[in-house]
Amino acid sequence: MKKNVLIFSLIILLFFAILFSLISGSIKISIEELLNVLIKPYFNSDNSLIIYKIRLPRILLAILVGGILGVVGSILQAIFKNPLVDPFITGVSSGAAFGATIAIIFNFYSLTFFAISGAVLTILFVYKLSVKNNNLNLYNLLLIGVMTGSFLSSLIMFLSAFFNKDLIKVVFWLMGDLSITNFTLLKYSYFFSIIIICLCIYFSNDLNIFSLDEDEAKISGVKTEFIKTLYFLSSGILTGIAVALSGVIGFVGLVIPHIMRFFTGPDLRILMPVSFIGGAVFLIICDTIARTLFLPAEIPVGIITGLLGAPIFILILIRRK
Amino acid sequence: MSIIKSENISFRYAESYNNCLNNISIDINEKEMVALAGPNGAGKTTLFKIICGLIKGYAGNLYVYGKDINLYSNIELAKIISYIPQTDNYIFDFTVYEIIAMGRRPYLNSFGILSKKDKDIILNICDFLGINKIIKRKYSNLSGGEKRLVLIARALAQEASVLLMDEPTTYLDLYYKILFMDKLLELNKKGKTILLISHDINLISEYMNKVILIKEGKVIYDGKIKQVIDEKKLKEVFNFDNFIIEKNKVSGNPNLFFIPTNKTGG
Repeated sequence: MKKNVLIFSLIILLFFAILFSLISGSIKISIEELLNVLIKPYFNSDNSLIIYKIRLPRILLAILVGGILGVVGSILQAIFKNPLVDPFITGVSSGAAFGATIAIIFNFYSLTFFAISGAVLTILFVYKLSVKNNNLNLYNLLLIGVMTGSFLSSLIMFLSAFFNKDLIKVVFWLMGDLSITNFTLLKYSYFFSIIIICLCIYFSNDLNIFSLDEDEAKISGVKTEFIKTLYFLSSGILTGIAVALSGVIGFVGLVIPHIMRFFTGPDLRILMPVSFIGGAVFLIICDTIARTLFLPAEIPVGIITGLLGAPIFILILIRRK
Repeated sequence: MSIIKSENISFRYAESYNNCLNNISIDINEKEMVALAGPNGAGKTTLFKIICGLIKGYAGNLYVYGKDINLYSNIELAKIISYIPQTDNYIFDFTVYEIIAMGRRPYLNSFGILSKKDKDIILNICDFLGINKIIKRKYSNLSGGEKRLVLIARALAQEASVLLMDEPTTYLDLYYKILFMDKLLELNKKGKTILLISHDINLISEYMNKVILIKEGKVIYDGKIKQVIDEKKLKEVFNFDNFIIEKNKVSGNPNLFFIPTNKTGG
């Protein structure tokens, strides 16, 4: 498929996903009512409150988190030379959640900072353990990542129980939840994430070469140590931001780059931006399902991404063999 | 003029007790075609990695165009030395064109947008190697011979004066083997210096002008084909008796013929 056509179709898809999400919910809003609210923000106070204070912020949150997960997924798959990894499977999301839990339990000032530190430390830990004699062992990587992830999740539950924190809230946190929007945090997160993502896209051809072979990349002039540091830090920081905003949402980072690669090929210069939009669309749809399926109750969005993502993951795994 | 010159290079892997390379001193001149041969585990690939700048922490000195290799940046070195790996284990399915374009990296920024000039260079190389019909195909769908040509195209796109190759003909059938070596000969005539590792004594004898025999990390013989490809010397280096060396009736170069154990009379 032509790249322009793909990007154009994805943006149309994003538009419809946003529209779908804006009108769905415990209070149905028709298209006319929505248009009214959008044209004259204070005409109908009830509807405009729902749109501007609840649904739109939540959609903006889903766009950023889904986009980040899509981009980080494409980065991790390239840097680990393994199309089966994402922030969740490598344990990086759980590392971020663990950092955030520490910040909550001990009332530290910046939850985001701790989430980022947790994510960066986990990614370095998993990478170091998966490398033997300068070679990255893909099986070790998957196993160590999954184990680190479950260990940290259990540790989070354990610490929460030990320090008498509300376990239901922790479960929501571990399953991913887009219901709480801190607008100031969201604003800063957008600002920093977009800078980091642009930086990641700028160096993406070097990551392309790196994703074939590290030694060959070095010989053809790529500063491989710089590339590794840049992308480990970026994916750690981005995952930390996403987890601080919404908890651990699995499978988006795995499935989206995979589907997008099917259309674009592995070139990250196009795959990264397209995975951002794709992740955003996917998460908006999953979140809308999560908050409307059992009205008036809501379920964590991670349940929906898991229900959709895990089977897709297994399909991909089987098809590869 | 000397392009690559090593003085007493010794190297030991961190996890090993023995030196992998012992006082290796070699001198590769401009426009030479040099083969590196020797038993498995002799240290040939390690020496290659040192010459490519992949392994640091060796003892001794290595000069590229008379300047210490450590004084070159990645990109400067990439413009002088390019490398064709022995095997590839590429996970992601790039197209042939995308892979060849990666060779232009030393001349581009990190985003890698190709200029008209870069594209012309790539197309010329594809013409030269006869692979312009496959540039839109996925690399993974190619045959072993085609893959090899694509990797050499990527190395040529780097426009380096030295081509390093680790057993480039191992998986090639007879047709591709000769095609590949003929292309190397043509490249050599155009001014490229070629250094390759090979186990194929006859190929070395017919195509290269110098051979370096390495055993247990030491250079045992280093010289012109007719001096080094010699029955006694090869038997000493490979520690193996079941062959004879005879003149190729057409080319006049020394060729190796195997003799199965049950026919050696001993």
